[in-house]
Amino acid sequence: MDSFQDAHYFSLPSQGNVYCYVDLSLTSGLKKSLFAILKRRVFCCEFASGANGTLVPVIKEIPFTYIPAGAEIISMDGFNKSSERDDFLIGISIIKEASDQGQESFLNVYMEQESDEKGNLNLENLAQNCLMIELNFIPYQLYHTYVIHEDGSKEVVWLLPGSDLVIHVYQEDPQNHTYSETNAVLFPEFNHIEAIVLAVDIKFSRDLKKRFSAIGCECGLLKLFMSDPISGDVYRQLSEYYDAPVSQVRLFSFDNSIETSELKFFAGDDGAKRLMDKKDQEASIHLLAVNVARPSAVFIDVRSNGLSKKQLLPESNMHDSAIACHIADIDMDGKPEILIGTYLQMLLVYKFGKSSWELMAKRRFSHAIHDIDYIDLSYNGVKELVVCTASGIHIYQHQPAFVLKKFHERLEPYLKITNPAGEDETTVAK
Amino acid sequence: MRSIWLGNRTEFDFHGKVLEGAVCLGDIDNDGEVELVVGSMTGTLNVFKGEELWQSLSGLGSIAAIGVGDVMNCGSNAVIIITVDGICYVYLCLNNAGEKLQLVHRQALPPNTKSMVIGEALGNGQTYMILGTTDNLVRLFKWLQNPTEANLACLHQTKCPAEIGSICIGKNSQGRTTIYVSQPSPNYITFQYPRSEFSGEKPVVETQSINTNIACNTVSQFVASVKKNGINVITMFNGSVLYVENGHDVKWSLDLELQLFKSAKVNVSPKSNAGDQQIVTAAWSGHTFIVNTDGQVVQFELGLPIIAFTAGPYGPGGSTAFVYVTFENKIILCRNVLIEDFVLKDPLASLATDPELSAYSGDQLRKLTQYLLYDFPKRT
Repeated sequence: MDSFQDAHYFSLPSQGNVYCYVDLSLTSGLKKSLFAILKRRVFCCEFASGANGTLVPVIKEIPFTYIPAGAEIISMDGFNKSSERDDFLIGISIIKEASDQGQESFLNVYMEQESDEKGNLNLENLAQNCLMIELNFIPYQLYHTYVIHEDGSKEVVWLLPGSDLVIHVYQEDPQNHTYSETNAVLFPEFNHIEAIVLAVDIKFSRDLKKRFSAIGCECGLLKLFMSDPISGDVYRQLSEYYDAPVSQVRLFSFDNSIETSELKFFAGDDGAKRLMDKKDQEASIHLLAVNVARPSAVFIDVRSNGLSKKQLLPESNMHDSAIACHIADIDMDGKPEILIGTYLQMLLVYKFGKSSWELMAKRRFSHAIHDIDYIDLSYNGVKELVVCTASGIHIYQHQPAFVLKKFHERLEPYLKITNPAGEDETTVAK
Repeated sequence: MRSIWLGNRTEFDFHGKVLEGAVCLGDIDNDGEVELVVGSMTGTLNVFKGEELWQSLSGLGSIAAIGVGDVMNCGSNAVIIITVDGICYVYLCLNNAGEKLQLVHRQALPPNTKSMVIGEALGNGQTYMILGTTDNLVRLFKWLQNPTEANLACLHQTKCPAEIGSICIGKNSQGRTTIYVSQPSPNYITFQYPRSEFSGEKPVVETQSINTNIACNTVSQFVASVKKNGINVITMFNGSVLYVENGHDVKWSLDLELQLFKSAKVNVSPKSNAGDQQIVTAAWSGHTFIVNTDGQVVQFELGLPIIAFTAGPYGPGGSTAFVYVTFENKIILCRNVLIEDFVLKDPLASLATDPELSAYSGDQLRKLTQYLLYDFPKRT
């Protein structure tokens, strides 16, 4: 955490909640983050480049339509439907007090009707084009994942757990160009949960042959399913019970997959091949379960151990309820750290030491932490840490000196790998 | 505009309304640590030290201005309190062994004090007190003492043409000690007193005019000798900030679009150019702007309306604190204010100018940076 410095703070006019933050990754590599507040407003944050190599944080409000007066935003999510161009969908679930029959709730799906030729994202345009789906339950976390069809194609669907103890699935109807709740049983593992689901996370094995689905429930139930994404067979189902709600679940691994796309774009064809040589096989999957009253736990290698091998995160229950988490490599050592945010304003950073997760750093904030993200908002290859609290959005930047030191330390060994013959590096770049 | 959050806060309870000049940071007990003194319109004076209320006095009348300094020229700081009707109290910590403030002197001065400054007004090593009043008078006082009696004597008095915003002691570009009195922009008044009050020379009083068309017909705040002598910053009630060199030339100006009512000189960026100072200026809405000498601004939003503001070193470490007196009977201190960079630097920009990496385009460099930082260590 020492390498971070304060970059920007945006004061929110009213608070959001733990489901109100979304990051959007454009195909160009540009990132934007969106955050909603309960009082019907959505803000977008990005960085512009100023004069003389400076960065200027820019925050603007995006006027999303069809959020009626008196309504409150509960959750928000977004994804890119296409892999080649920017064709984003943003979903916002809202709840509205109705005068006579209690409350009404809706899922608003926003999409660009006619995205322009170049496929550029125009958020203002997107926010004007809404499809409203009426809900007959109180929505919780809005989540998206994909279903895999028999021909191997992927289709993105929304998952929305509700107060009626069901995880609802919304699928696009391509003929009518609408979204509606599907009757097909796409996620058989989620039948008969009989609990309010607070958090969902789904991860696929690299060959897409296995689907890992984790859910955390309000009653303290933590469930993990392993299923076949095509046939839908659930071949393993594991549960753990707590006496307090499970607020977040996250499946992750220490895998060696390379995030950066198009290595040959900068390393040249040969260089990229050499960089890919050492790509390892698939790493095991771990499950992080954040609990509001008990210590949060990491279940190690759930594929072989199930939920039997767990490690508690020290101090994770000592700052009131832990409600936010994120997994990211914030110290640039190639291995992810766990970040946990608590209601009592503490951000805890855990790092995997020799054999266990250790508390590496903590930082106190002025308000409850609702969400954490680590994302390259500045569009320069270096990621920023975003911490959403009840009062505003904190953005931290790595100190430029720290970044340059890491860069130059690694540049030489990198050049040795991509360019072992010691050719002039310009030929590699071109 | 870049904005920051100041999370390291100390809050004190304080009842009553506070006038603009009745908040002061100073070392009142001569222990090298700066305390906060706040006086209310109902006559309460509270002294805060570190995290706690150190002393509370009451029945002082409507406190208009407070100053801390070695007015008696005796080597230890006194607290001077002036009420709206002109009663001046001098409090002193008589010895340094944890002793509280004691009243040593009480005297009636002309009423309507608005701002007070204590310092070496003549540049002769002696400490003087300067008072500015709402009826546009500037008076210079010195503590005079003989074995039988002692009092604050008025050595000089001048009437300014318009309303006085703030008074400060600085040095002009020749290094001569000068008193700056702010007037509605684009004017201000400078005083240069003779080095000895007994020399018989008359002080030089000049009305100065800044070469600008930015005008504001209400009060402005003057901050003198920023960064080096002869450089002044003027913050105006209409939100304009002027950086003035050589007395008249505007190097840059800003419009912050809020009613800036109080400004101070601070040093919150010690790592930047050595000795560089910044101006902090606050609006009644609680918005605070920290401006460096290059005109770069960082904003802080307190989120509450404020009635009085000051800034300066506070507490044992002497780190910079912003002091806000709110309308809700609270004093909020934002402590350890530190701004490493006023503008965010893009590491990519310095890589792009690196001759070793000139073969890469901007996009290639961005991807290479991402690869080296996040993917490269996964190889081992």
